[in-house]
Amino acid sequence: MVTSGQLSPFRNEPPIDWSEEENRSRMRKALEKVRGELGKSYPLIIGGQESWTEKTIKSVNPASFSEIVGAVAKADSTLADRAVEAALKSWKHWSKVSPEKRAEYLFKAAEIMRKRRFELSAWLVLEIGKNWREADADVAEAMDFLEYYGRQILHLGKPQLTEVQVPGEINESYYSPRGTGGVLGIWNFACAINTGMVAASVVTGNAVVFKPASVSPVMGYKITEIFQEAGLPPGVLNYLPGSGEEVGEYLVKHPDINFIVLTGSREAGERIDRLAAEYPHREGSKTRILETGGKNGIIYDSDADMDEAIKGTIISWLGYQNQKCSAQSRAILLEHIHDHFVERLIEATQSINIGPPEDPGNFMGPLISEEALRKVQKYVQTGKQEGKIAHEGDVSAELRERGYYHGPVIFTEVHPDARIAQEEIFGPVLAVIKAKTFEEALEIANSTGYALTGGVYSRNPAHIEKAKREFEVGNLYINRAITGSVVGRQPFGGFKGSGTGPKAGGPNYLAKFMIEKTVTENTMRRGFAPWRKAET
Amino acid sequence: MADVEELTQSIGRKLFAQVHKQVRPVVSSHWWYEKAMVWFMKDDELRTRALGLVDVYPVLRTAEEKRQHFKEYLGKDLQSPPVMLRIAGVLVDYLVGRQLVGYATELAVRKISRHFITEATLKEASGRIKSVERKGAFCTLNRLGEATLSETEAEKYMANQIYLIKVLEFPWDRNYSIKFSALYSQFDPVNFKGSIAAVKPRYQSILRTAKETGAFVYTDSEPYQYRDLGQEIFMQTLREEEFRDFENAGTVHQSYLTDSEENLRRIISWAKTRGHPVTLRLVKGAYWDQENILAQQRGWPIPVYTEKWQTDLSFEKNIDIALESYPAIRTAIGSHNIRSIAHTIAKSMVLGLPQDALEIQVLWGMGNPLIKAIPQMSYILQKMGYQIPYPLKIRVYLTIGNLVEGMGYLARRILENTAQNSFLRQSFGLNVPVEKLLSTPQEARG
Repeated sequence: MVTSGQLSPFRNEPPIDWSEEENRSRMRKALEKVRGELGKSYPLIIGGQESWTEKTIKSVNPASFSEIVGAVAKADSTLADRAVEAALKSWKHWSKVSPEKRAEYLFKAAEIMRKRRFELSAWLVLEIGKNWREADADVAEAMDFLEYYGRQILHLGKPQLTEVQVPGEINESYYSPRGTGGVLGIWNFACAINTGMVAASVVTGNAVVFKPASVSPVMGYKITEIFQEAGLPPGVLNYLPGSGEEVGEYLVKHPDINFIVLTGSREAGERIDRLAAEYPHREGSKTRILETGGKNGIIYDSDADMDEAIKGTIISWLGYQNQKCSAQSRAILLEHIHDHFVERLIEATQSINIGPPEDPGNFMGPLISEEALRKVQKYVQTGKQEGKIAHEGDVSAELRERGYYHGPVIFTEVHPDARIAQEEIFGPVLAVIKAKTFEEALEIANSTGYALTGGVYSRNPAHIEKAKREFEVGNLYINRAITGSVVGRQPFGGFKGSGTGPKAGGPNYLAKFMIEKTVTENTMRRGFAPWRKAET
Repeated sequence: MADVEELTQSIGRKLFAQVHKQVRPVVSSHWWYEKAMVWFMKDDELRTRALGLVDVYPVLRTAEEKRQHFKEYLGKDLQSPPVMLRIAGVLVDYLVGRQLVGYATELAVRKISRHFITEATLKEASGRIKSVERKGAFCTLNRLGEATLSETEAEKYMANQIYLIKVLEFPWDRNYSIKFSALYSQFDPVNFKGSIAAVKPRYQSILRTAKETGAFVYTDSEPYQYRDLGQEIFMQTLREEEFRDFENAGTVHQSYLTDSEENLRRIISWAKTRGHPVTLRLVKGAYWDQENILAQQRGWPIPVYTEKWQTDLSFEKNIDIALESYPAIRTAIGSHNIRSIAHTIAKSMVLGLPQDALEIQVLWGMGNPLIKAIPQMSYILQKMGYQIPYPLKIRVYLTIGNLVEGMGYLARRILENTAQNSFLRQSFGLNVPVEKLLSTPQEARG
């Protein structure tokens, strides 16, 4: 059993050093091994038991969509009901397990991930089209969530004295689990974010039903498998792939579900808000922890370091094909540097290699699905009405026949209120907007319905100060890329249409999964208070 | 070898005396540079802010922008601002004062930059080369550019190098320094094979031009992440039929890396099997701060020695190994450290090496007193009774570019120059006894 005394302090999992030939070789071997495992079938896991269904969900390699990564069982509302029941049943015991023991499961899971690191990265490359570096960062972040939340519960799981203490009375805060929850998974950080949401839910003593995103259900299975191997009791984590309407909404409406945690689109978040309000838990309202997207802009001041700004833009805008809630989709440029920046950005964009992410020479890969591709294509059409095409990247017919590829597109002369400057596209489309002053740039940056990430490239300390105070986003980055937040270092999350908070990977997250109870004990007997310390 | 150490000491003293004979003219870019360096060295906060201002200054256009930036960087919240700065901070709020401060800052920034970087015109570059060669030294040219972020920029970089090689007149030999990472916009060790495949043809074009004109091409220091990639490109290219017997190629070797000795031996064993000489430019290392910071951010082991004496020791060991590997290896050492230089000369004399085995390289702007002193040393050594029939070779590394392109280079030079334990600071700035300056790295450890 681990206590906070024996445990090393939290530190982030170092990313893999790709300059080492040994690491590149291990990745190549892992890709080969995982290729050999493609096409398998995976069951639901309810109450620790496997459950097979007739209908299945096929997960394909977006770089090569004729390749089936795996087929997972597909749940319906009946099975969803059984899963919730299983969670509820297991919760009776799980809620009584000590925080130390619960943390232990997370640490064990992290250890298993560490051993399988390259293999899990290979799954991400093949199932969601991430390049080597991005895939490894995804797996490293998953381990970070496990190690971070595991350490947090050691503190939160113990009764805390309240802020004001008086003699003759002991006042303490107890944090206890809410009960059962629905974890509605995402595909773009199929390892990290799903692991984070599940870990936060279970380490706080809750039991959950985890519905993975239908385009990345195999990674969802791998995560469940790892928790099982770590010894998590049956029923605490139930794996339930299924459609959003049948399974997802069913969970949101279920009277025995206390909370819903989701990372997804703003529309999904709003839908959950409505349903959760209409269909409360049998004992009270449902808690919602939602992270829902952005329309993230970077401001480029007239004294910006152009080299750094272009490098940061390529990473923020095109990293993982813009399929991150934190990705950049707007560039707000002070007039003076606009033309030079756009010219260099176009040249830099033209030099990016696009192709199957299995080949480490390709920075960009495919979009996740046919649906995503159509959506991006529609927005490009809209953009042509709303602005000027400065660059429309080409993808070869050969690539397009094999995978869901889309080239990068840059629009200039975009008005801040244009649809392509307001709506989340989730594809490599950049809206370039001009500003006359830094103040105007800030106004433009703040003018969308989202508030997730933002950035400023400036070497003017006064402007930087101003942005720190006035740029309305949950994660602001100065003179660097705006993606790649790291657990503990940059707690992640926004507000307005970007989510409810609290920030994941930060000190305030876990408490939201718990109920706070204040307990007051009068310790006076016959007019005197025995000098009794609270049991902390 | 006791011999070498004894010789090192006596050569070191003579060299030290020669260097201090160099009279520095009062009114020249050197004067400005000295004044500025004193400021930079004063305290860390001032240094960071001044460096920040110098960094952004070249892109500021309007007087208002310049005034604002000056105020933000040097006119506010400094713990203990020098008197001149306090005056400037007040002046800057008045119209005339603003102009004065503006001109002074402008001048200072330009003078500091020009101290290290030669303007990117053929006239300026040729002029500087001639003035160096008049002092009896050779040159190597490093043409800077913006960061290579696109293939257009990579091609442009290559074309510029080829143009320079063909066009620039050197009275003596033609010698150039390039960076592999500038030859491919997607240079990345994760794509090892692809990066090599993209850079090699461009590197070969440059080498081909060198072959045609009798020029020499060095490849320069890069961050640790790129080291193996760069070396692989170097070795693969020089193994190919066309360049198998090409002797005018060199590459850098940085001693501040903890695996530098192992790495050096690997290159030497490769050079021996190739059978034709290559030149290695041994340096301590150009990215110490950056390597430390990035390694700590990532949670990776720090790849550089953290204490100065360790780097110094590694440097001397590597010099010995390289000199001992003549003729497969010709050694160039890049150093302004009198001890390191003296040790190198001593070792090569004890080994009885010929002229083409060794050259001393210094950066323009940092090692200027050495430019005259080294050639003098040959005559002094002869007078001391040593058999040294040839003049010692010194080569000056000239960096050419405009201010914006040169900023990274400039920042690293200022950092090196003003680091607490920089040799230059000690020998050319403060008064440190010569015995201390010439102590062995182990002794210096204290």
